[in-house]
Amino acid sequence: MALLTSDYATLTQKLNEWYNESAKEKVQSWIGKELFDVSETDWQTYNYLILNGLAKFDRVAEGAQLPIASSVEGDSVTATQRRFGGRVGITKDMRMFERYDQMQEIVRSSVDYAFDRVDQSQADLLGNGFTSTSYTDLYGYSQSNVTPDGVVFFSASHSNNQNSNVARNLIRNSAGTANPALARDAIVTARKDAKVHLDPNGTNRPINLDRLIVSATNEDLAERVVYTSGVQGTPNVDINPLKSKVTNILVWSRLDTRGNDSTDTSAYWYMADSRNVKSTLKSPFAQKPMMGEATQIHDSLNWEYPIDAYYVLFLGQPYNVFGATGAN
Amino acid sequence: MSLDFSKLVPQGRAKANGVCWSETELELLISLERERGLARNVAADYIRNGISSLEDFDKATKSGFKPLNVEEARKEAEENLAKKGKEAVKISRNKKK
Repeated sequence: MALLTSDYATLTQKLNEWYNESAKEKVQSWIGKELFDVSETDWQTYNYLILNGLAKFDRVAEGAQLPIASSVEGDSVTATQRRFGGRVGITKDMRMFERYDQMQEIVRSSVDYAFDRVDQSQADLLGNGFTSTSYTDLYGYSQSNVTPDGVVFFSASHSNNQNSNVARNLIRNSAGTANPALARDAIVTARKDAKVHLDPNGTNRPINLDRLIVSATNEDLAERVVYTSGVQGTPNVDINPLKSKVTNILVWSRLDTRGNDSTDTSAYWYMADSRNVKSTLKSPFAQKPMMGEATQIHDSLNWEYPIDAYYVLFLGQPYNVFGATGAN
Repeated sequence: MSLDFSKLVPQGRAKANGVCWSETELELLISLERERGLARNVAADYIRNGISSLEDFDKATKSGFKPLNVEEARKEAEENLAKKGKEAVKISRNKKK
């Protein structure tokens, strides 16, 4: 029996069930959420402030008061939520002939696409992090790729507001060449650079780059460099120390080609501190992708179900993620 | 995402309101700090005034060049604009006469 307007509620429920099933599967394969802070927020405008550390821990004389630790405000940014979405059209024919398989496919495909776009937009923030100060994102809008200090995401010259010290999160090899190809030597040097990182107060704040993030193209090489029991590419019998230090390789196929301009970025690779990466990569959601109630379109008699989300992408303090284009 | 340019620009960490340093400008900024001992905000003024290399800087300082800072440049631009308007009015009056 054909579906009638009175069946709105039943069909909506059915579509929502399919939507939720698909979304559940898709969320599991959403790699961006492993790296980005995708927490929910009520703020339309998200204010982010770097604190340059609490610099008080001194020897105290007997009976004396402990010195007060005051935080020093660093750079700040504001990020405003944007709305994204689309409509799923259930045609009169589908309802007339109860083509549930088609309806299910349409919903599933729309969910997949929504999450694919979110995931790709997040990968693109990394892929566009080496030059310029903004890029046109896959939605066609300008997306900033600088950190709160006004410097492009991956740089050897990140600044702070307290002094003229600079710090890096651009990967180099032991010879000092920036943007080396993925190799053991570059991983070791990046880990060293991160370990000796100084905060603006001059205090060593070691960053543990324990996660390697690569494109699908570099998956095999990454696994051989990190997981082989001996040192990769050498005939010697030394054990491979990286095996226990880089504890996770994240293969993100969306890093192979940038979604916004189809540039081949398969040689790009990154390292992150898995404990703190989400304080660098920010993507707060005011609303995760969800499907709303249908409306009937008068001319076509389609029942259209909106799928929409609110989120924004921005960068916090940069040092928990290091990157290289692999060009050298 | 919007940066706090009201703080970055006076500190010499951005070129102008809404404009970050390009890679080459940032490189020169750091070179001027390290190799010529300038404070960041002073080095920034030189670059904003068109100095594009260490050699340019050396030649400019030899000839006694003093860069305008953002505030001075703004005032000068305002004065120039006002002057242009006044000149236009003056020319029009002279034509009528």
